[in-house]
Amino acid sequence: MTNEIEQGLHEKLCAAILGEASEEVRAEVARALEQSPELRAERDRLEKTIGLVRVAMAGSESLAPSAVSEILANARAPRIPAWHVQRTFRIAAGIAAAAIVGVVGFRVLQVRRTIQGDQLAMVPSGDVKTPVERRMGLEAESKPAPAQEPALLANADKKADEAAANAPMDATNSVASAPATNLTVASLERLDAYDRDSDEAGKKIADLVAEQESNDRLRLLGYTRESGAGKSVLIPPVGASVTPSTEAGTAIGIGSGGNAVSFGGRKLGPGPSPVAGQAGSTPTGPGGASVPSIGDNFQLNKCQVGEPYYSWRDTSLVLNSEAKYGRAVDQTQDARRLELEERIRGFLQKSPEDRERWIDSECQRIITGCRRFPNERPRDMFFRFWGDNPFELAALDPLSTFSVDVDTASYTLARRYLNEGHIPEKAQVRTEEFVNYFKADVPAPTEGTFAIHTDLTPSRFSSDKARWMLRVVVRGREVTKQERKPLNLTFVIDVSGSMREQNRLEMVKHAVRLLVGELDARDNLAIVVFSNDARLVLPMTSAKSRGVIESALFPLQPENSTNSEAGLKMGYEVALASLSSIADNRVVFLSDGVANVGETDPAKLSDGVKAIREKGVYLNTIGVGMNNHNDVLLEQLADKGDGVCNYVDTPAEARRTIVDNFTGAFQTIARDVKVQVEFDPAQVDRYRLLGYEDRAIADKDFRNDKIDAGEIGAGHQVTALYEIERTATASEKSLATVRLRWKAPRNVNTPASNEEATEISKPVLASQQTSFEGAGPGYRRAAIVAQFAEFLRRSVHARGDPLDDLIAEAEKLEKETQDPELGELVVLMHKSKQLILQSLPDCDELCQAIDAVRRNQILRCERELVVKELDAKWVQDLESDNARLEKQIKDLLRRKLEQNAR
Amino acid sequence: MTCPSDGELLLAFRNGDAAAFAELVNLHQGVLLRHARALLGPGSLYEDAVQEVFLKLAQSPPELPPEAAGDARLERVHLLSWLHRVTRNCCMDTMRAEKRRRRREQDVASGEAHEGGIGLVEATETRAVVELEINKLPVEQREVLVLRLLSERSYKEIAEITGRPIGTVGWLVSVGLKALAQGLAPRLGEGVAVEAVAATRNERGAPSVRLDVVRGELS
Repeated sequence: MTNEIEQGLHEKLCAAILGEASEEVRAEVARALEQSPELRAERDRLEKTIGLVRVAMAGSESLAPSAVSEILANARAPRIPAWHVQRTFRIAAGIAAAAIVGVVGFRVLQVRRTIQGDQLAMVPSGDVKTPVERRMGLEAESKPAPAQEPALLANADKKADEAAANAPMDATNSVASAPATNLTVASLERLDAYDRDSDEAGKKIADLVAEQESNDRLRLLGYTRESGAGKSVLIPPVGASVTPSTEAGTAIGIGSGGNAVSFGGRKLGPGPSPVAGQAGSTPTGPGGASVPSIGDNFQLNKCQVGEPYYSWRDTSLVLNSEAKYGRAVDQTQDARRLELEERIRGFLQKSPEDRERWIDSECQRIITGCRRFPNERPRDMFFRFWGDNPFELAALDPLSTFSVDVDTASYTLARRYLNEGHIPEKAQVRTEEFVNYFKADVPAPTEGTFAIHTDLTPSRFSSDKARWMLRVVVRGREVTKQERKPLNLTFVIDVSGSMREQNRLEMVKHAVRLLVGELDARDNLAIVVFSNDARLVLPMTSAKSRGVIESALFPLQPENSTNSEAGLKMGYEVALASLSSIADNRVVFLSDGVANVGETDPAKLSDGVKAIREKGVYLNTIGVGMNNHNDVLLEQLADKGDGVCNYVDTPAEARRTIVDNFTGAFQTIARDVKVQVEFDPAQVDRYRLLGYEDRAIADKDFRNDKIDAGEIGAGHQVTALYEIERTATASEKSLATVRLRWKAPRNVNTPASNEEATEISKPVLASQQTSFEGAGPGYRRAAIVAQFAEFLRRSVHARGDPLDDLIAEAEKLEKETQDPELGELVVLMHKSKQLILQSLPDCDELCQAIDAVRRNQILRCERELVVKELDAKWVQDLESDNARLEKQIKDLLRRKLEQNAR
Repeated sequence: MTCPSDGELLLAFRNGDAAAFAELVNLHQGVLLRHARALLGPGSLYEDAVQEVFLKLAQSPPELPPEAAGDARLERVHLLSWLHRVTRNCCMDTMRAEKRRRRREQDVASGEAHEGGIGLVEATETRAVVELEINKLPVEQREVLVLRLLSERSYKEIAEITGRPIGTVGWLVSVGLKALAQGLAPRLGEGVAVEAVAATRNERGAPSVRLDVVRGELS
């Protein structure tokens, strides 16, 4: 087949695939592809091959950690000293040596100053000089003083000795200080080296002067150097300070320990052993050209939090199975079960004693995993076990605090997945984003920035009919198109090879055109594109120059790899260069989210975003494509950039996101918006927040205005749903109080320290309760959507709930309201019903037994925290129940082994 | 967006900052290791070669052309071009030395065990299979493909690095990809045909090698 393709054409095809072809060649190849099915087959084959190679060989090697210090040590170590210095070169040599001293270490100078006294009289003595300035002082001395050459040379040698011994690298790495004799040779050798080419020595000095200037430039740019344990890094300019970003970590709940909420939200959770080498579980495209990124691992590890089914991943039977199932197999229950059977089969070849020992240790491991960690709170235990927010005892923790989230990408993405016949991963389904996708149904405030609405009805979908559902809606004020601030937008467009798939780049162009259509003469925009590297294709231009914008946009073609880091960096440079104090400065990042060159770690990328956010530039992200849409990266970037993350898969969705919701996405009306609901323990026994798992904020940080939280755009609404169990004592007092705290959007000129937060609150009264049917359609829709998300999340709370009931309720509401978006959801529910049912974990006896042990442990933990003195009888009952369960688990394990033996 | 450019790092290193050097090593070792490995094959030689490259970098850092100064992208292109060229030279030196050493050794021992472990691998992992296929390619194709596909260097940069005309680079990519597609054909479908690959190899009578040993060798 390949032989039929002429070699020249094949080369052109390769060049086109790799993004190396010129415009004409690309056109030529396109024509040839249209005509020849063989060529198309070959293109597919080559694309698959390239994809396979890239995927298989992903992850780079590195030298041993000690390599750097070895290299540096070797670089300074003596070589064979061919030492024939001609007299005429000595001056240059002396200068060169002095220059080296300057390069290697300034600290020496201070030492030498005391020893050498008069000889170094010309050395500047200012104590406040920077290292660079001191070094320059030395150069100033050495250049005009050739007459002092012999003494200088001697000094230079001595200085080189000490310089080498005191070299700053010693501080950072374990380079052993070489003996003094060697060092002398070393410095002589260096002299020798420079002697060979005195011109070069002169040039070095000129360079050093230039270096000093550019070093100052570096400092002006704000780079500082910070050294930690054994490692020192260049720190970028951070605006106000570094602290907010670290604190932000706790705010969105990735911190742990102490009082901070230790949900493993976006980070590696405390689930069973992380499965390294399991990258690439996200469904890959038909071309197989997706490249597993760190983001994939992220998602995977997130899934490990609170696995609904008992995980066999880390049993002691692991026999290198990662290699076997490592790459291609999707992380489904089936695969896991297969793997389990495989392991057991291998294990059955062992002796009965071995088996008993294994059952014992396995059972112990399970039981230990169910125990409470030191100081672990009941809610954290629950999250560790099942990955969902628990029902919390109001007596123990009456406060529920979280940061708002107005993103909707999770719903759009899940919809796409379901339509394609896949079930999204648990971590990709964010209940709050599902609920917030649907349009606001409560009126915007007529005065003030926000209005709080609450509804209370019996919980429609709960298995426990005594439960209630509280809806809290925060609605922001509207901003009309005339009122809005001018915009300074910098588009950062991904033109990497993966954007070729499914016409993603064309979708991006479409989105940008729609956006430009919304802009007017007040606004400016620039376009940066990135693949291997970033380049500016349109400098800041008035939005009314449509022709200029189109001519920059039109020729963009997919090419090469994805260096998101370079793209963002340049985008920010452009945005900062034209920072306007009257406009809303914003970078809009459009990508399919798969970074594979430069920095690819979402956490590290978003740290940088945070720093620049402090300078007044927002970041919105728009995701396109789906196969390897790296939801985590884009979501985190937008989160840190105080912007909105949207996912666009169809022209209709692009219109909805960009045109219909224009002011919402591009006009921020409030920053760091936090919600706190305080329940009255006298009236509410337990409560559970649906969603917002990774948006939790420590209760005490609600009024800590340094803690970062979400932003709200004009007209946005944020909905939170609580399921609550009420106590028997009914009262006319308020059940709960909803508090909202936010800061006004920051002007570029406002100093960070000088900002006031506003707080409003509203009580939830028992008297406002209605029946479910009596509540407004918006409320019912929210409850339906949330329940759907719970199903998709395989939430432990939806376990056993009938899916048909949900669909029937959704249909009923759809008939009543004729809401097209709800209609779409109903279609989606029908379509994916089987898929959802299959994905639900069937909890077998073993799983149930383990859940029982877990529940007992949580119960005990709660009791200990509430009543302190435990009732001895109660404890005894619990212990005996645990013993019974332990025995049951052992039996079930044994039975599993035997079943598999057959 | 947080990182200093290569030029800034070089500068910092010239100013005596060892951490800047470590950062440079960190940034570029991956692609250089791949390049060296493509030339020298698995083993420990390629790592030594890359160490040698960084030693050269430490001893005499290259001067980036003035037109590149301040442009992070150009700086990177120039530095990488330099690093890849030095890597290539180091590898060539190593290959020459290796050849001499091998010849001496082969004079002593019989030619039995010098096929190299990689040829005998019982391939059970995608990476191993892909690596095996890449290693089957002639060295010049291998080098160019690794530089293009894994190090993401453009044809033009590869031409500079290898000192070959750009047309030849295109030709090498085309021929190499063709061979690779052929070799990897069983892996290109959805199903993972690992066992099939392993089986064909065993039919040919190659002794099977313990997987863990091989993996150790590969890494």
